[in-house]
Amino acid sequence: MITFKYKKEKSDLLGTIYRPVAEVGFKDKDGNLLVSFMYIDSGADITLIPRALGESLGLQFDEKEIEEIKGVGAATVPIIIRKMWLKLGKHEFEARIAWALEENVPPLLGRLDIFNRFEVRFKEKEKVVQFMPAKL
Amino acid sequence: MCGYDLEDKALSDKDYNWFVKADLSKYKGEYVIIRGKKVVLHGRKLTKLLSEFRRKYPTDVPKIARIPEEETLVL
Repeated sequence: MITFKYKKEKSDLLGTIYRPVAEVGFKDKDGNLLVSFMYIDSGADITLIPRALGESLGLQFDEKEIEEIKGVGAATVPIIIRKMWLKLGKHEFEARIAWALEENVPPLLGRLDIFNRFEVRFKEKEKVVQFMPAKL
Repeated sequence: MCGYDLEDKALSDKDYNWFVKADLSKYKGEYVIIRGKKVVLHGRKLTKLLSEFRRKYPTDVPKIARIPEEETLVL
């Protein structure tokens, strides 16, 4: 089981807020490891990384690959979908991620190709999230 | 990966544990790179920060976070 914790942060709108943070391993195009602290977002269909993080991992794109996604509001974010190697705890696997072509998005650990591998339990009162490996 | 192969690694990794407790609001809108329970580099140009990190600490795995602006909501 992997246990992640919540981080206390400040919000203009909500005051003090606690957000669950995962520690996620990535490999760049040369195979170098990089760890990113990302918010765990069970409402996100797909994992999302900002532009600079994707560039640092050596991602490149063709204009024809650009898609647009919408969040809760009307604004759209241009993205590229890529399959990438990820590591959560000792678990290594490939997952599709959305590389945002803009910087103003938080890194989010979403559900696609990830939550199906685990039973994910948000223990809001204890401020932890547990990822228990699921039978695939 | 940098000694992370423990099953319950998030509870065992000192930098992660430090990060979730630290008030890093003075870096809002920036990337930070954490090593040894402190921010060793910060700024808006992540590729530049990583180059500098790898030059200074060639055997270490960079641990990065993007510190949100206070108006950010995670939806």
